Amino acid sequence: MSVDDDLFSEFNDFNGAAPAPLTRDEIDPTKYVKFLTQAWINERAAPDILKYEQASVDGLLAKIDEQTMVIDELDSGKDTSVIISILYQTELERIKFVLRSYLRTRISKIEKYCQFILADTNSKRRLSKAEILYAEKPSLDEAVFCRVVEDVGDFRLDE
Amino acid sequence: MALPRHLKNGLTPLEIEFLAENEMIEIEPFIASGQDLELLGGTLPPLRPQRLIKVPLWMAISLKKKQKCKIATPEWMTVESLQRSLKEEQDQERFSALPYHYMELAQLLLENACDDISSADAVRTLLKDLREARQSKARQGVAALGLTYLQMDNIGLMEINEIRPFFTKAFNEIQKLKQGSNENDQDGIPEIPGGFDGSASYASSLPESSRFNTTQGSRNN
Repeated sequence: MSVDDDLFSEFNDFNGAAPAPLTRDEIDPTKYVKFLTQAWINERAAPDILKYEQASVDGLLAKIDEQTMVIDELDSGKDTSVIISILYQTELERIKFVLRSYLRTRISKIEKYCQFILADTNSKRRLSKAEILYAEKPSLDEAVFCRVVEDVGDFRLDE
Repeated sequence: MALPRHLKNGLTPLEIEFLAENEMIEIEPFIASGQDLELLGGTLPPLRPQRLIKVPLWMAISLKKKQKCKIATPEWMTVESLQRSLKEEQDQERFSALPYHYMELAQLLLENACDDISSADAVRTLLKDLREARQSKARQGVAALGLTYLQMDNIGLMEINEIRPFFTKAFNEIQKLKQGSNENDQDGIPEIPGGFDGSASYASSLPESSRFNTTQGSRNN
């Protein structure tokens, strides 16, 4: 990327950790936690929705599964294994906390600014596929009031 | 699914404490782990008794709670160092150089590893004095709030968070006043960047973490 591109690239596309979006294979797996944490802090502080940290979220979800299996395989009979297991689990809980808070912060912005985000190409580009689906799907489960204007006799409501 | 209202204004003090727990700290383990600690955030070498090792603070606290380690007091948190910082704080206009997470680190260490800190009571008192001196400095910073940004070198994250709601709001008001005055006066008013230490400049060689810039792109309320 040339310097000029940098100057004109959008302010909000900068997420502190990865200026140019890297794919999952390009990121050192031990950096996932760092990138996600920075993305979470930025998302919480920014008024608008920022670029989705796709690579780190996907990478971490896979890593969390792997680590869960490692924990299961630790020998629970040994004292040191118990300590290691506690430390590994503590880290997993911390990562899951950031992940949840990150995704919830984004969902809450999408709910609040749904129409704007869908109409604004720049904002819409920053959403994940799942988030776009969420934003586009009108909620059909909302409760509504119906005024009955005519007696139709017995009527069966869908479950 | 929506976030509660109180969570929408930046990070909460508890979340800032959570971030501080990622900072590395030196411990002296009482146990041997017998293997590398393969964490998702990176691999740590095996724990060995009496062998000093740097680990994330959350891990140090977790081990400490099980009496499996002693936490080494960071150099800046010793009585001598804090006395120096306090003197600097009182003599100079700028903030003394303390770690970005100094408040949270001190709080967590005093809470969880009080017995590992020598003269813990003196440390506590010094930290309180430091905090008060710095708080009044941060308030004076309001006077230096200019039209484009405000620079406060060495301010801590917890301290930023305390003044964030007020400063960003005040900043937006100043922007509104500026726009209003531009409409009345063709020339507008001159751009006065606000530098708290008197040396206002856009370029700074300081690391991002120790700078605090309010710009129009931050937040609206």
